[in-house]
Amino acid sequence: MRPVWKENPSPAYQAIKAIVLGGFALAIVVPILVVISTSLASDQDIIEAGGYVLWPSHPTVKAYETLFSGGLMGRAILVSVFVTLVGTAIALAVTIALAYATSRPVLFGRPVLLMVLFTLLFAPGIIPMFLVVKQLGLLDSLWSLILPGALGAFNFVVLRTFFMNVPGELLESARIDGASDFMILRKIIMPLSKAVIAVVGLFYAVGFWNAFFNALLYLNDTSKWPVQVILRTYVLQGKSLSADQLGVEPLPQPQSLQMAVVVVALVPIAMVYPFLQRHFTKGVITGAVKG
Amino acid sequence: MINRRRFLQVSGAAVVAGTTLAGCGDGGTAGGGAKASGELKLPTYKPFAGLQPDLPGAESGLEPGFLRFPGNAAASVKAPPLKNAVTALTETFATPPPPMGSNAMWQSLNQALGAELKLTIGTDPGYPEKFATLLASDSLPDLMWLPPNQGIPNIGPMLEAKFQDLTPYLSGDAVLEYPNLAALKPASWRTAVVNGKIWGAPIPSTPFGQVMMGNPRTWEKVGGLQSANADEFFAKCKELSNGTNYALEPSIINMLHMFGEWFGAPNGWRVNADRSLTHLYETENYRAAVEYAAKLWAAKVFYPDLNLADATPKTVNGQIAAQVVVGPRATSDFRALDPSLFVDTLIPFGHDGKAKPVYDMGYGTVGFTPFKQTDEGRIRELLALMDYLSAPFGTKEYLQKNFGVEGQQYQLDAGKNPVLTKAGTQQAPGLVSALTIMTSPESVIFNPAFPDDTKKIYETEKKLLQFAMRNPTAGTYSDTSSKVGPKLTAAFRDTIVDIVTGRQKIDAYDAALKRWKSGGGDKMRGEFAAVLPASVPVS
Repeated sequence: MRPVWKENPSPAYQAIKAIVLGGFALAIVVPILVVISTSLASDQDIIEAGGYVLWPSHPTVKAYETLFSGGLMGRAILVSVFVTLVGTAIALAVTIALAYATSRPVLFGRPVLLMVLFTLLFAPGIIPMFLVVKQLGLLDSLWSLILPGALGAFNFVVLRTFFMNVPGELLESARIDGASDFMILRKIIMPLSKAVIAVVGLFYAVGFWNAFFNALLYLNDTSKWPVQVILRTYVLQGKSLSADQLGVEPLPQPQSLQMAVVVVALVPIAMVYPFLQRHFTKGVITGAVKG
Repeated sequence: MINRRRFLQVSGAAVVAGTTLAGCGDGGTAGGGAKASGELKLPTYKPFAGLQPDLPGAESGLEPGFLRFPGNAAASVKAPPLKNAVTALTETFATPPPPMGSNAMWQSLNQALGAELKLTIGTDPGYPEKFATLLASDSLPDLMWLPPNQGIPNIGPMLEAKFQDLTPYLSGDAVLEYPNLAALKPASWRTAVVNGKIWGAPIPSTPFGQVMMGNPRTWEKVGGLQSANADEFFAKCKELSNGTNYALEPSIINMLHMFGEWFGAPNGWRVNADRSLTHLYETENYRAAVEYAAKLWAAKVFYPDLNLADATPKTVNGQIAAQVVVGPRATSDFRALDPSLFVDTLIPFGHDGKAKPVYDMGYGTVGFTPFKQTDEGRIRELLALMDYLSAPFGTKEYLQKNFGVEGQQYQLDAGKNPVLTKAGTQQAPGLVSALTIMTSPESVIFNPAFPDDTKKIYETEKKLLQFAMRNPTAGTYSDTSSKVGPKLTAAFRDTIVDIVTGRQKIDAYDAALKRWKSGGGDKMRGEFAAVLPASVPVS
């Protein structure tokens, strides 16, 4: 609502605002529309448009049919969902527990532990990581996608900072009432930190959903590939059949296939965002300012 | 053969630079390795006798042509090669295959081989990282495809430390025990020779390099794609460009490769009369090509979006008139989009209509596949597997590897050509791509749906061969080149693209060249010159 003491803006000013905002909106909507349209485009549409299609005049779901026909894609979605759900749950549990422990002043040897945790901010390198994963016997197992990423240093710092700002008096009174540390964490800290936990959870979930490099390195069996690896192969490799291999029915154009994979990889995350968005800014800003 | 286009696009570009590709030749120490490699007896060449191509191939590199798939495919292998399962690291350049457990074609291949062939399928980019981690952690599979152009360093010491020397099993007449490996040409085998030893079976691919292809329907308006000189080509391009339609795809470096050929630029390096080397970038010819490209850019004949990933659909619909493709066989890419379209291949011409142009041949192989160190029995088993998978075009084994089982993955059309069934199109592409990048027979021209294309491509290849030039450093190794070559090339190309697109003046060329030379270019020259084989002619 406009305050009563403000004049109504001139039509010209409003028009300019509409154009600028409309322009921004289009810049975001059009690429997404192109992705979806191209995934639904027929060969004819793609030739006419010379590649990516803004609006398919002969829509078809052939690209999706092809994608799901091999069985690889359906399985990959299951793998990605499993890794994301289990990974996020484990990562949240580990991070919350650690953040709580290090946020309390009573912990023995806290400075040393914090120094150790500080090193987590630096990437260990591909080969040392591979060796650790191998020694743990995780090669070719889905756990190799979950465990190495179960504690994110950045997320840990955000949570810890937040927990440290919960007034000590609250916890003291709980302790006087006989609450254990576990109960304090569960009944006091966590309900107070819902927003920041939701955000950290989202960070983890997006991270697990989008991860592909670990899968490339640690998994040998294509049936364990997550969606993102498949997405990458489709987008980078393109062509499906070559000249000397005739097929009874030609495959869809690489552009439609690529965009169909993009849609498949995009939809789940796009569906989660609106529900978490309200926590999003609140959570991150709280952690940041109070730190 | 199959789905190597992406790979060859990469390697084709690298040939121009003459840098990373050389990484797969004589490895390790520069001097001694090359000398030792010179003394090695290459495997005896004995072509497969069971098949007669419709259009014969030639030593010059001309690929044999088949108008239809040979009837009654002959067997080239006596018994299934395997008794124990084999693991292999490879890479797919197609859509990923369904896993072995749900891939009937893979299972039937295992049955034909006698045991399971377990493939770890990598992707590009990411392959060198996968390769490095497996190597560093000592978790080597039995076979590991070694690409020549993805920047895997220190090939010589790596092979000596971790892989099996196969010289006693393959050198000279020893190879005759594996007839399909004996049918690979000596030129292909040179790739697999490092430090004077043979480390695996090479993976031949087309010996031809990049060409420019144009849509004849578009070029018709200006009298066709073929031109007599650079000015005529310029005029035609200008006429075809009008702000919505453009003559040339925006792939500046590839286009420059074509222009360089017209201006007589060497393929990678020029061999001078005193056996010294001059790099492509140092020649007046390449500089002239850059100026010519800048003139074309200023005339607005290039499609303006430099990020265009794939120009093929635009060439088909006429928005772009010509593009650079991986080789003369790529006409099929356009047929795939529009079956009624056979694109025209530009034959290089002298820039002034008089000078002799050159045509840059490609590398000819996509590397080789070394074996993990093991005992003799296992080595012979793995060699038998390579022999099976390298079966020539038209054999029973070739059919099994590329098309699967009749009635399941493929059926025969009216012309008796194998055609993939619906199941085949799901199961074949990724698997076949992964297999053919690690093992392959010598290449052929074969377009089952359009036999006439095969004849036309064969004629095009003959014409291109008149101007053929090979990279003199192909098959040799420079440490500096594999370490800093790609970075130097990228930096130089950035400047070139800036010059062509008018963001920098041509004066920037000299400064960029100076940086290239001091950054490692001069050192590369020294290393390549020291190992330049005597058989390489002055160019």
